[in-house]
Amino acid sequence: MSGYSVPQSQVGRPTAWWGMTILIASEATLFGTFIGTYYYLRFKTPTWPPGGIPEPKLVVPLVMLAVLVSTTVPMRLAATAARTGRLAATRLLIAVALVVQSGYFAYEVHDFSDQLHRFDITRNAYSSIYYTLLGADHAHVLLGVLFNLWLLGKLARGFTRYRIHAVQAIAWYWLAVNVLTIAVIGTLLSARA
Amino acid sequence: MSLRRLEILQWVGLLLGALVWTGQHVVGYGVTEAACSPGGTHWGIRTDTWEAVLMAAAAGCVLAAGLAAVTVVVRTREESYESPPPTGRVRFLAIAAITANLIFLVIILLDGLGSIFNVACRQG
Repeated sequence: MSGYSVPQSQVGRPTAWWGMTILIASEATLFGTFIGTYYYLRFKTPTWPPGGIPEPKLVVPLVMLAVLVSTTVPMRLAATAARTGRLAATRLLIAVALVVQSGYFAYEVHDFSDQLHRFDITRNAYSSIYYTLLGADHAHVLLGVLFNLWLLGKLARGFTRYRIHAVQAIAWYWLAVNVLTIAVIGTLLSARA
Repeated sequence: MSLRRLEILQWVGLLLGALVWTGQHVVGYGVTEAACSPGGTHWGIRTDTWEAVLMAAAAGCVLAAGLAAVTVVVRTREESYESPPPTGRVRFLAIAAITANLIFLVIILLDGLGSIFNVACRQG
């Protein structure tokens, strides 16, 4: 049992949701600027990617993207479970999402360092914006993983209104990160077009 | 002051800074394009004057937005930002608005001063 009576109704969304919305809006602006920079550079450059850099791979990034996006489901279900006071289900769903997200992040860090050996970030404008976009996205995934770890630590001691709101806000964060990752991977793979 | 009025002030405080900076940047970019493009040179547009007026107007709006946010924070001082909505939300977003307006004021000044002191029409 959670030991906490879940409020059945309240006027408007909790402050945590609004705080997360502001964070997401500012991060979306950041990524919008990066993506705008990418296409600005692309349209100024006759060959893309320039300087003999190979085109980005297609299959593995799409598979990894699907893996990450699939974690939207357990995170949304965890938010629903938290709202209805099911503590064990909330913990389990967050733990499942965390395992998948950590696996995704570990692979992406390995792939990132592998790519750096093939062309480094200072090589040209393409490599700069490529690694900036990818690195910023990975940083947001890492932040989400840390959020989930913190959340599981908090939920080990049961529900409070604050923790229920935190589950909902972090599920909202993951939805935004997954949408941003789709935008980032779509942008980077557009170099193949 | 009614809660409804506080909510309006809070949203003005939160959103006005972003909107006026966007306006300053987009209009400033358009003015520079018009002044420097071959079709617009005969208009004699003074980009420095335009940028200074845009910067002053935008900074004035941001200060007004900040004042609105401060008013909300003062009027909700009996509440906590963790209070249930709507009062907790109004206070929280007003605090966020004060921070955002400080940042937008700096951005607007840097945008304006950079445009004024930089050479507008230069071969790219």
